[in-house]
Amino acid sequence: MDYTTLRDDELMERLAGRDLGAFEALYDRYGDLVYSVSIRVVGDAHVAQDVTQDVFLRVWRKPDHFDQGRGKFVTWLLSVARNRSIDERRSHGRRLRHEALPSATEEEDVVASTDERDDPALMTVLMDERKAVRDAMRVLPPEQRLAIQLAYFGGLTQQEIANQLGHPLGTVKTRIRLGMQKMRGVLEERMAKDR
Amino acid sequence: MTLLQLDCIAARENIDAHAIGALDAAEVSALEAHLAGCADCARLADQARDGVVALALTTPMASGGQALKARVLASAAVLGDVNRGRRPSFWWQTVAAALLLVSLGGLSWGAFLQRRVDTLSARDSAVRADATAQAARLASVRDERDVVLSIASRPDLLRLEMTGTGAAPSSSGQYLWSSTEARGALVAENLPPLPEGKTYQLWAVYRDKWVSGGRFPVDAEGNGSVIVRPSGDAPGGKPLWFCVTVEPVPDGARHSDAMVLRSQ
Repeated sequence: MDYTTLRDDELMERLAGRDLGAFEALYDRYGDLVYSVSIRVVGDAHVAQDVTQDVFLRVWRKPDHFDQGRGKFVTWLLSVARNRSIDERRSHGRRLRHEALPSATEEEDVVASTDERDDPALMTVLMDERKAVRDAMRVLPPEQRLAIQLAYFGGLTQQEIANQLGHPLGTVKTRIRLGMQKMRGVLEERMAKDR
Repeated sequence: MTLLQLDCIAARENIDAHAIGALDAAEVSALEAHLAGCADCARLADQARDGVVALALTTPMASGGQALKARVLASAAVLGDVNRGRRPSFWWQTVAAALLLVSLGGLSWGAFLQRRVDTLSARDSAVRADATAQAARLASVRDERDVVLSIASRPDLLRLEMTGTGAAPSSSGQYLWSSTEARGALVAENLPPLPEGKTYQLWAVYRDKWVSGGRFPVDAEGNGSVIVRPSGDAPGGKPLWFCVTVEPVPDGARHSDAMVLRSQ
């Protein structure tokens, strides 16, 4: 059986039958992505490894938690990975990386990074989508991008971001709202072009 | 109507922040209360939540490496029966729970398993009269657990499925081996009850020789395990296959033909 030719939902169906080969194929496809999200959030390789293991074992133990009717598997998996990572970071009482808020420069470096090093298995699935989102983020004003990233990857609330940056709460709220609207607009525009 | 419009406006201003987790608890409660009664806003919130996951794709790629992959797969293999509804035996719970506990570190799942291990240990101590024997048994289980964990976390982990023969059709097993660890482990399930004076024995079968991998008992549910260490009796090369036989307790000179498990 060549698992690499199977779609995500087909692999998930096989997980219900305890097919370890299907599980391995899913890990090959998304393991590094989950790890990457986790290490971005928690900032510690060992904790990120634990989170990655936990996320995939949840998939293995409870494949039925993925509802195909509610969207793509990778969307669900990334949501689980991000939320699990944020929980872990909070459970450590912010003793991990974000005890010290990442600087705007640091976040800028992440977005501006030309790092397109991706494993082939992942890129066959997500290359276009990843490029679109990164491009969309790059067109945002830096202050909007920073606010969004501190919330999404840092797990900070708007009030916490305002406190950390020394900006009014209303300003932070506006930056997040406008930034998300703009990013959504760029992505929708791109999708319309691709059709 | 005016109040509803104001509520919707306020809600929609917060929908994106909610999607990226930037609201505090009070704001989340207020928004979710509104979403519960407003289908239009709830639809927008769903769209925002689905879309925001794409943010995860902006993160630079890093690799957990082959060691992490091996660890995840080994844990899944060990947990293979969790969803089958079979009630695990005490030793299996202990090994699996301890393995996962160590693997998951301080994660909440680990905490849950830690409590389970603690509960099982406490219950075990209470119900067994022979405290000395129990302590020895626990020490043995812990040793096995440590070895299985060590083997299962190796990047070069090899896993062989073993299936029951006609004499034990419902039995199964997994043989784990790590060359760098220079050790292996057999974990067997659902083996038939042993006749009086008999025990199970693992064999590595070479072209001209059967080499013992160790003897092991089983619990009331037919589950057992044995740690395999390199034997000086082993000839060169790799074994052709592995099997488990029923043998007399007094160690015989050769294997019997009563085979219950065999590698595929």
